[in-house]
Amino acid sequence: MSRKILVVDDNEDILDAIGLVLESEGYEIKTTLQGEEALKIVSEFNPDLILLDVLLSGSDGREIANRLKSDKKTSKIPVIMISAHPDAQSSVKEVGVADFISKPFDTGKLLKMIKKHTA
Amino acid sequence: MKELEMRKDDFINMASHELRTPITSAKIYTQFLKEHLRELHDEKAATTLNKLDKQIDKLTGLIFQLLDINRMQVGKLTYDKQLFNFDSLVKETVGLQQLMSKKHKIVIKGKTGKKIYGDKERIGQVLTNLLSNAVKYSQESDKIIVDLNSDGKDIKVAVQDFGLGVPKAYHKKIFERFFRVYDNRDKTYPGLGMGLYIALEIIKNHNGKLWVASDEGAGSIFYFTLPLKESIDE
Repeated sequence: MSRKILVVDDNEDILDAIGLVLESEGYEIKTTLQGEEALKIVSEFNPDLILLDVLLSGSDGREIANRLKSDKKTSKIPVIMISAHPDAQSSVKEVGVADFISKPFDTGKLLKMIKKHTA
Repeated sequence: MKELEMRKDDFINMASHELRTPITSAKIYTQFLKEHLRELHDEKAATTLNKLDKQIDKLTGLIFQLLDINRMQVGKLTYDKQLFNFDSLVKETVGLQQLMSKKHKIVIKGKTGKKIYGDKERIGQVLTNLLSNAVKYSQESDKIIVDLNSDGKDIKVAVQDFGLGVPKAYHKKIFERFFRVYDNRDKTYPGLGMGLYIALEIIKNHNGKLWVASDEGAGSIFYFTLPLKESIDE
């Protein structure tokens, strides 16, 4: 059975591009532009991994990550945070997510990271 | 005036951030197509997309440098310091630069045999900037030497090229922000005059020194030192 990934980013082009790559690698994916929406999808979709942008419109990706971590049902799902903001890495470390990747990134690097955390 | 300066800094920060988003999707699409074409055995098209990917990297590098300069100006550049193996970093950085410079053979001489305390990425950036300058300004030669040594007090790195050289009058000025010896009217040497300024700021932050020994037409040697105070023997 294919692994399931939820991608959360407030930019449609990024969602489209990442979706294209992940689907061609055989992952089942769902995407959303909204942080709150992401929390709803998680409970129904039950993803094996979440790719989460730090800066979302209307919410903070770090806050969403915190809420996922503090809920028993979702705390085990690995979260990889992505950001175009250079200062984000240090604040992401504090949240204690599985990994961080900075935009723009190498697709191969992202796929390797996903494989590592869904192994 | 101060408000205008702040607005300019904010603008550059925002612009760099905004530019990263379309670049990210452009890079993903490019790499996706490259892999797809490779699977279809269309090597020529895949190689062309690989070139496009490298151009995207260059554009990204320029945006990062603009952002770095801006953050240096407002004292907000952050450093992530830890102990790292210095010689491995040099080997890694030279390896990456070698991939991009077909004409030049980059040779590493000597070793420091030290682990030093610093921001590995940023020190790597210093070396990358020096190496890419060495390549850019020595198109008529085919060799670059990176010499490593340590005297117990500092580690010392020398990046030597056999190219155009820097006239003595400019030995200090080349480290100033946006200064260029070969200005924009001469399109042979494209650039924005950011690399050496950034390199010097990084080295200064690590309590080291960066300078040049060179003369017009005689090639250049860029030296930098980093103190060994917080290093350990490898």
